[in-house]
Amino acid sequence: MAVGESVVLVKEDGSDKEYTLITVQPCVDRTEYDGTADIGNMGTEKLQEKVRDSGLFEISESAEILLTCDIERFIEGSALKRWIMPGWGSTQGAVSVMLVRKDGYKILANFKSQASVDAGGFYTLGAEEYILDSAFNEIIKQLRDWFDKSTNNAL
Amino acid sequence: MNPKHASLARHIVIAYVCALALSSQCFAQRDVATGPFAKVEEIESQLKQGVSTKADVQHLLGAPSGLGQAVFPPTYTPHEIWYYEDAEVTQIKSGGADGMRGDMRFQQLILFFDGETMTGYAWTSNSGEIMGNQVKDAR
Repeated sequence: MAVGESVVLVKEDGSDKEYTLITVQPCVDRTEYDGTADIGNMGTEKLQEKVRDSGLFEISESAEILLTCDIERFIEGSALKRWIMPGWGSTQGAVSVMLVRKDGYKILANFKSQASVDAGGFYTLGAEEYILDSAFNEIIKQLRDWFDKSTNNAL
Repeated sequence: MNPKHASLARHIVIAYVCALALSSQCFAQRDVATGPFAKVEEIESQLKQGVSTKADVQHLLGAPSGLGQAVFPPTYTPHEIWYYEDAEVTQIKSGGADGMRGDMRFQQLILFFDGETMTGYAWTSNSGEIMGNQVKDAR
């Protein structure tokens, strides 16, 4: 089971209808990960899938609002190490997503989330496959809160 | 598996892995990072004052850690400010009886914008060694 934490820096409310149409930019791998996985592509695919499934936004290449994505940390970890000693071999993922208005490149909101699998036995094998998934789930939750809260306030 | 056998298997694996770890000094190579802002040295070559845009900065450094606004004389025109920080232990080295040693890095960067254009920046980077000592029992 992955545990995570997230933070959101809100600059503007999300009640404006124009925010429902967004362009999802490719995730930039800012980790110093030197393994074989393509973290950037993996992140982009996950984020697009999550955004689409959330029903919050419609993805469009010509939207006025950009959703940027940075993979800030990715550590593969090891289920064997976690089995031996909790905390050792921790699998970690951290992502940062910003909503930016194209015009003036104005940052509307910045969402950060990190997830980790610190303990567990071999049932945690493959944590490196779903760690970004967990981190993006948190981001979507934050986006939904930001969007819902702002919409309700506007009504 | 019988719990007794499972426990024995675990102990054997622990002993094997610890021996492997100590012989290869893999404990000494463990890195602990707290953020992505690791390319402060590229700012001067990749960003141009009065030319680079917010998008260029975001492309190079990612999402800022903080945002703000300030006015400066003589015009007192509002300038947007982006703030980046990075504090990380870049390497933990195996220590002796006194505690552990490691390398750390602390960096800060402030960028100023006039509209979309970057008008200036200031940064500091401090690398050094940290040492953690065991707290002696005063009783």
